[in-house]
Amino acid sequence: MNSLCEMGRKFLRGRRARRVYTLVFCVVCGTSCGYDRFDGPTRPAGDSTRPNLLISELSEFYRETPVTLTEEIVLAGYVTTTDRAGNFFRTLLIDDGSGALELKLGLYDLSATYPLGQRLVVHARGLTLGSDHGILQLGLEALPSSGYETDYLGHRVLVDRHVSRDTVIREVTPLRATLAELVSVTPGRLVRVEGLRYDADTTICWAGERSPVTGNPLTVYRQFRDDEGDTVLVVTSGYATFASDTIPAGRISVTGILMRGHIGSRDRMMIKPRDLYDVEDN
Amino acid sequence: MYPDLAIGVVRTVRRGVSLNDVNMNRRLPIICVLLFSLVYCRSVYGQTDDVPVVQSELHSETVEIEDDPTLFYLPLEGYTDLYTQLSLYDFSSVRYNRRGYEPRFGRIRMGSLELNDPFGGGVYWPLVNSVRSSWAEVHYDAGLRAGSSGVGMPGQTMDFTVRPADLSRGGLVSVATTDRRYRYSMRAGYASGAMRHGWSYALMVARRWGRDRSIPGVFTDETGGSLLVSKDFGTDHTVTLALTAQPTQTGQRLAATREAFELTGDRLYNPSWGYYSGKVRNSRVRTSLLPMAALAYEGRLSSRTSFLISLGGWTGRTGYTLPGWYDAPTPYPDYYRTMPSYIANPAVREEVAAAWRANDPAVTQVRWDELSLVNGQSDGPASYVLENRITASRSFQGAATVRVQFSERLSFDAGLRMRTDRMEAYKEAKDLLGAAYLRDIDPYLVDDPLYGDLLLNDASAPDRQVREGERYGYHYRIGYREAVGLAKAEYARNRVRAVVELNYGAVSFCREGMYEKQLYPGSLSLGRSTRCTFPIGQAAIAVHYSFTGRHSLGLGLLTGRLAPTAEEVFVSPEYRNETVSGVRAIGLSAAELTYDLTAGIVHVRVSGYMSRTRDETRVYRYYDDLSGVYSDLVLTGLGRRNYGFELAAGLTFSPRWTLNLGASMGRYVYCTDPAAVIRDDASGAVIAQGTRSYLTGYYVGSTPQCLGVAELRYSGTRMWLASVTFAYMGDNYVDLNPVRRMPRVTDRAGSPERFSALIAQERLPSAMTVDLFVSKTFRLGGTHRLTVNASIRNLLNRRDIVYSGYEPMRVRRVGSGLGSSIAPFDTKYYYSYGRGYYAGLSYRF
Repeated sequence: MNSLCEMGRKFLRGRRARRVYTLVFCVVCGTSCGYDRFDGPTRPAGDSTRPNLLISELSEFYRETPVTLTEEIVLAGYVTTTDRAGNFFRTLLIDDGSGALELKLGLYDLSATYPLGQRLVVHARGLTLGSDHGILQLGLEALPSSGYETDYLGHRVLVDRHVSRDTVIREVTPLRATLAELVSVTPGRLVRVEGLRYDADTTICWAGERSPVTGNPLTVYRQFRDDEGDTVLVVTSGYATFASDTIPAGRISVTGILMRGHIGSRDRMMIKPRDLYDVEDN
Repeated sequence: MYPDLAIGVVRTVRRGVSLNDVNMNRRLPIICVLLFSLVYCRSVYGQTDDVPVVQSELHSETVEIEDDPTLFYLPLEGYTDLYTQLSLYDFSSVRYNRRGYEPRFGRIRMGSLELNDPFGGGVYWPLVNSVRSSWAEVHYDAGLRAGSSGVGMPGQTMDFTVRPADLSRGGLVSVATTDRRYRYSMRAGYASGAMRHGWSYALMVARRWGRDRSIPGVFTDETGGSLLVSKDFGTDHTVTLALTAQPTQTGQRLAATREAFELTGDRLYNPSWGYYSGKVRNSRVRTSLLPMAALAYEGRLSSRTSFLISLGGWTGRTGYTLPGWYDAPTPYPDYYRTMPSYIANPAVREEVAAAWRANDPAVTQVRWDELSLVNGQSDGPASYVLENRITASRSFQGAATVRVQFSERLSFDAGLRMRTDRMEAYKEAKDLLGAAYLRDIDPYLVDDPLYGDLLLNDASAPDRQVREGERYGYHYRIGYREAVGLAKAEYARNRVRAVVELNYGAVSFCREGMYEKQLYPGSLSLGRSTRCTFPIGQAAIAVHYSFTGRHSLGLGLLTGRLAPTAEEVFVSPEYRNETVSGVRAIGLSAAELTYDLTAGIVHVRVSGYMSRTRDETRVYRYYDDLSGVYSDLVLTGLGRRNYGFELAAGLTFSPRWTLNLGASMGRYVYCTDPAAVIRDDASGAVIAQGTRSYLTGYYVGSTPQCLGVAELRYSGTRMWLASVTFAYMGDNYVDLNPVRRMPRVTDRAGSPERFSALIAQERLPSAMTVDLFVSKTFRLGGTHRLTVNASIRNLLNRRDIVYSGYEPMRVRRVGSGLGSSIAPFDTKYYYSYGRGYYAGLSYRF
């Protein structure tokens, strides 16, 4: 112990040793650790998996009642909707050219994560196939109290298990058709109809009505008519950012997702635009 | 591992080299340099980013207060009383404000240089830490007393004194390792003592670095330096210069809900980090660089008259990063809507909970790779950005005092203190995460039905594309001016000592907007605001009577007005010039009675204190769930009452054994129901007015109101020192959300249970810790000493200690129709560390 102390004294008190300490200290103090220094991001490769089924073929699994898919079904399609304007909410549609499919993802701000035109690959095994307004949809098995055929996935934990993104982004061109031709178009497809007029002489907003019970904004169906006298309902959510915008007078064209529903006592065709850019003056 | 290797190699070399080897002095330092380089490089560049698999809970948050144990062992600390000495470090397991007072009710000074932050009301901690790391002597105190530096303040005071000539000549080199917030530290300094021709200097350089051992994302990278120089001109005049600088970068921790802690099984869960290309990256990183300079000239004009002139200031910037997002999902992993408790579908809830329990980083942490992927999906503007909120501060202060010693008993000081500060705030796009640019728009107005077309933050640059490193969002300056006249009289005779202190002056604030916000055109946001001026002043008296040399009584009284902060004067200083209506200087009245007794082996001090504040103002900027808009809540007429007692006793059983005891019991409560006004932040429209937040009787949060400490200390022969400390911290409460105590919220509680849930203030569990400390000093001849010290904190490894908690500003709707109600958001907490260590080696010569 004494010899250790003696060694310590000589070592620590040496002049040369002090120069070394100074050098070491300067080196230590002069370097930065770089704990917050990062290179550019590395992007993961997209999922370019080829589908083993077309969306139009998926409809054969649906028999007017929801069914949970047990087969290893892989679908793919391009996103045709955006929730940026709020007319689509927590859900999106994809189109593979043969048909369209609604994915009830149950997430917010989907347009950022799955932008328009993004190619998505869907692993459908374990999901429930249902229909709403004539549109095929995939989601979870609905709760008994739901009133819908499928429920939202609701969290990225589940969404990422079934839906993956490719790096390909290609906007889908809407199908141009007259109202008469829309009868033969599969619901869920992106369509564009020209020459429509609002079917009333009043000036009115796209939506704006509220429930007399809850006070919540209501989804509103406005009827439009073409020159041939055919009619279509344009669907606007009361939460859409353009809900309080005035419907243009005169002829317009409307782009949106084709839907079919039962209003009153009859089946009606409907178009649900994504935002106000889908409405153009003719 | 590597320090052990280094010691082993030294021993091997020692055995292989004779003590008489003339080359030993040459070889051994070189070997140590090589070994040290290996250790240093490993510590800097080789620290793994692997996340330790945390099986159970662990520790606490990094806030401004520095409880660095290395600073405890600096020899230049002084305390007025034993309780101050005990309370400084022994309650560091919880957030602690002495006597419940925030820093604005105390004082931190270096000479005449005030180190407080007039804009936010806090303290420039990077500045304080750089001074603490220097050779400056620091004196801690609290309360009103007839002291040599005046009556004092009700809260904690820290007075730094710079006198390099008073330091003994010699140097200090120390290294240390710990496991909290950093891993390694080094410090080296030298003080010349009084040299020829009246010169003296003291130099200190320090470095701390490393990642926290328990909390991913928490790290420290800090380098500091200070230089103190003084010159004596004869015996009557001295000029002292102090220079400090401490560039610092730290990774921070964020609070989380109890649900998150329980699901992860980790009470040190930190939601602020995530994997970025496989490496741990923290979204909340603080940086600071505030070089400071202070010049003091002390002199004597005659045998009875002396003076002190001080000039000083600092300039630099601090900043912190956080993610920003535009029309995209929040990047925070613990957002309430994504937590299992919010999910209605039981199957989904269980899936998500399972992912949390498995500590899947895709669920529990920030998904940096996802943010980059989203940004890279288009050539358009970024959806995500890592923003850096910068505050560039500049302060210039001057003070001059003259002291006249009329007689041995009576002296009089008069002086003037002036200060001008400028704070410039803006944010930078630190990292665009793979996007090419960012649109400089207000993301909160994007979907606004009324103001969605008034998005521009800077109307003069409507189409500007913000690139990485450029400013955006907001840019403004706030100027602060202060001028105060001071007068103090001291009287001492036989058993009596009295101090009377008066100061009076004014402070003013003025905002200057550099951006014209489209929502607030013209002078509403651009250019200068009206200048707001507040008279301030204090009158204080303290008397100390010594019954005997061991038995005394002291009384202190204070009343006055303190300045509000810029945060309390401007409604939304980020982007508009509007000032708060009705803001006033804060009224403060305080009294304190202190009794000292030394009898035999016992020294006891008991202090009783009380204080009352009036006319406090608070401004909260938050999302108001009831109205569905971002809002500004202004509370005026807030008042608090703090009262209690402190007891400290030191028992010296023998020259070796000492027992120190401390106890404090207080009540820090709100005593008024402040008037409340809520306005839409976008339009300025009134949402609620003529109402109040009912806060009377609620406890001031984030500081325990009942404290106890017992320290048993042994000072052995051959310079051994050991101590064991038991600390108790109780009666701690969470910080309140005032919105929950307003009728507009409580009236919507659907049931008595919901009402109680809204208004109840959670009391945090009491905490108890045991700390060990041991130190051994070796004399190496002359003034050379080698000291080894080690400490273990929280020896019992208590991992359930809540450091602090707060109620978020939001409430949520639950139920529907007739069954709808309002419920509070989950409280957020920080937990304290479990068992931790500190070990150091210091060499003084």
